[in-house]
Amino acid sequence: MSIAEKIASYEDMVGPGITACLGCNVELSMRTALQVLGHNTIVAIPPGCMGGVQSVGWADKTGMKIPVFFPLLDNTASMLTGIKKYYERIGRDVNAVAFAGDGATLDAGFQALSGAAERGDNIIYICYDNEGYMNTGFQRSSSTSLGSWTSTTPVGEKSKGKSSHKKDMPLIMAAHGIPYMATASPAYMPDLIKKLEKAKNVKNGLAYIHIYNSCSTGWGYDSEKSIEIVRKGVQSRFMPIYEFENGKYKLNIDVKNPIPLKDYLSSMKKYKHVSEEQIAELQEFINEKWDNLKKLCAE
Amino acid sequence: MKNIKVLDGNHAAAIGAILSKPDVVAAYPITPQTPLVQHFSQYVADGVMNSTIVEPESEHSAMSVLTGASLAGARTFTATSSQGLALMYEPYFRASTMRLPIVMNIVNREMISPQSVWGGPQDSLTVRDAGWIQIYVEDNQEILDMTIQAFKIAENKDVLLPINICYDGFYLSHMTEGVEVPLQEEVNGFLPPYKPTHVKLDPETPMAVDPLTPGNYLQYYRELHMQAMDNAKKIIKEVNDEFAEKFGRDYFGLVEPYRMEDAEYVLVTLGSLTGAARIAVDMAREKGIKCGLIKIRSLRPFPKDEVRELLKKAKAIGVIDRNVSFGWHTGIIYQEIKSAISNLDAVPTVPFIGGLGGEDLTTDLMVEALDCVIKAGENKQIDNEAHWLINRKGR
Amino acid sequence: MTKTDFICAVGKELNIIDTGSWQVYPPVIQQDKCKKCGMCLLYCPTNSVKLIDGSYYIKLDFCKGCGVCINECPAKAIKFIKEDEQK
Repeated sequence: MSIAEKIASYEDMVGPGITACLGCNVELSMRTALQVLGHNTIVAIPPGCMGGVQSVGWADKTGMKIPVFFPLLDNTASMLTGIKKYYERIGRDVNAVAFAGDGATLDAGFQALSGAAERGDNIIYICYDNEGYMNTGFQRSSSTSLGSWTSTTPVGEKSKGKSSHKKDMPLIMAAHGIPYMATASPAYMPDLIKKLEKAKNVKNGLAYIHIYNSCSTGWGYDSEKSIEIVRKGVQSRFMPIYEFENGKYKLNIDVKNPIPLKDYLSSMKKYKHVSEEQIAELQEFINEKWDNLKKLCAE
Repeated sequence: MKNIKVLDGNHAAAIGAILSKPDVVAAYPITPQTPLVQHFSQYVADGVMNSTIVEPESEHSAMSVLTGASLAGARTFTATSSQGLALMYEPYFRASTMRLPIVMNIVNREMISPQSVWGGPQDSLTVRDAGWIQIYVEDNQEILDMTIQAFKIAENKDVLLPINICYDGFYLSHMTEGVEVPLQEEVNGFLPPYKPTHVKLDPETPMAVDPLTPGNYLQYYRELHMQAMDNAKKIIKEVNDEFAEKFGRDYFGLVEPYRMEDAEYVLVTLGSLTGAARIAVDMAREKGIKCGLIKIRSLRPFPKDEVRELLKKAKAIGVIDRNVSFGWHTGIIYQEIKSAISNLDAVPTVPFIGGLGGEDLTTDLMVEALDCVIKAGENKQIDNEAHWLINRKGR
Repeated sequence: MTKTDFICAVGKELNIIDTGSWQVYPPVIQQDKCKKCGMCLLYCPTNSVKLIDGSYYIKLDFCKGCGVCINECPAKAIKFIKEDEQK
């Protein structure tokens, strides 16, 4: 069975129409994730794009065929811990799953997630990283990369987008020593699906998947380029695809001949102002991260 | 034979909770609540208690873990104080509006600044409008008994609201008293298991919890929440009466009257300071002055009818507040009482503030307060400034 | 006041939003050119690509017309059908 045939055989757990923007690869990632995780799942969608597009529902109607709820922006992991602990107590194996944006994960929800990881709570936490608070008009998050325009790191006389680098959340999560951590991309579906299956089978602690998504509305590109953009992200080594399983790092997509970073940056409006210096600084950051990752994977 | 143990307030609370068999407990230690958490952990380590304990990394997460567990169908318990309560305000408000019958004891402690760890219910009074039931207790026996009753009140199908049992930090939390401990079988007979259907996260019965909700629906849910508070008045009394019958201890439900039969001068109290006020009333009664007190037990729902009835023959009233309401220059309970007796405008009502930051509200100060109330009554002095009760010994 | 069967914010019936009305042009798979790799199904954000008896079709009911399938099809087998072509 091909991977497409396999996915076609899974039921879509999300309501048929949700109001995500045209070409949204977060909608794609969420539908795919929940198809793989299946019926025996309770899913938390904190405030962010996927909450905003009514995947939790509207008024007295639900957005999904499985139990779904809005946690607070900053307590997704803790609420899932409570749910999971009770099901463990009564002897029922239920997937307690977060599908949370980078704001709810790297920023406001970081403490709760770190706590759950440290305690070894058996939840599956999926972060959809579109590098900012896209639902409310693209404010910066700690996942926004250097130089990026956002509505709170605008471009003007005195500043040119965000002045600091993106927080390395995948590595931070791996450093918690959790049983499974992986990065993934909607452009590499078989890899993403395999990782979701692995996460589903983790029973001895927290599984974290960091999906590098993008946002046509916020980043500024045409909707049909949605997959092309994140593929370029991977091919430029901007979005390294690897996993950390039982203490070992493994590079899943070894980009031997990366495309020039400029090709990636120039394909969207949020970087259109970046200077050669900023590109050089970004390139240096990416090189360091990549070299470090290669070392970790060699160990 | 009665099973009497010497217990501090935190230990009494822990035993009350353990007897109620919560499924999930998550609590973050904070002075003066810390020993309560330690007792729990030890009882679980010793196998005396069978609850699932989560050690969260903050109070915000403690309440969040319980919110999740309660949504899955668990009976849940936690406790906190002051800054911890402030940190958990976000999930705190949400637990009530999700109609989750979580039981949380609040060991009352001042809000900083200045840095202080001592008593005063400024913490829980500040969040009185967050939709929780709040009951304030006077001694360690009442802590234990009300912790058990709390589950029965909160989980009642006509209530389904979270509940705080509030008691003073150090004065109760760390002071020991003889406390009668009920037997587990007795509590089992009193408290049925919790089986929610109104809101539940279960793959066998899928539902969305908290979809994006427009105002017309939100107003409807708020109206039902208000009605549940009204229902709680009746249920608190019913549970009190059933408890009194089964365990022999009666706390009079929403508000406890003391020597109120013919009382003309009345003190209104909350929490552990009531003890000293009772003595002041007794002393005045010995001199032939008709005075009494009412102890507010349920702040939410507020017993406005009961308070109005009890105070209708008063010639003057004094409200003792161990807290402040900035901008009113009174305490918070004073405003609550004034709202309840808005029909008694001609009755002098004096706001007292004292005992902040754990300062002792001595019998002398209560006598001072009562004298002040009597004078206000005799002079028909309607406009009364806040009277600060200041312990002049020491400092 | 709007009433529901619930005492707090809960939803049970599935909420359905007509995202098909967003389409400017409907995308169609030209079956003669399709290599049946299934990329369109894997990448469709709205899960509008269906596999029926070994062939892929786009179900237009909820398709927003984003064009991702067109951009990603390795065989260039998918295209928007413009109004004049529809006639």
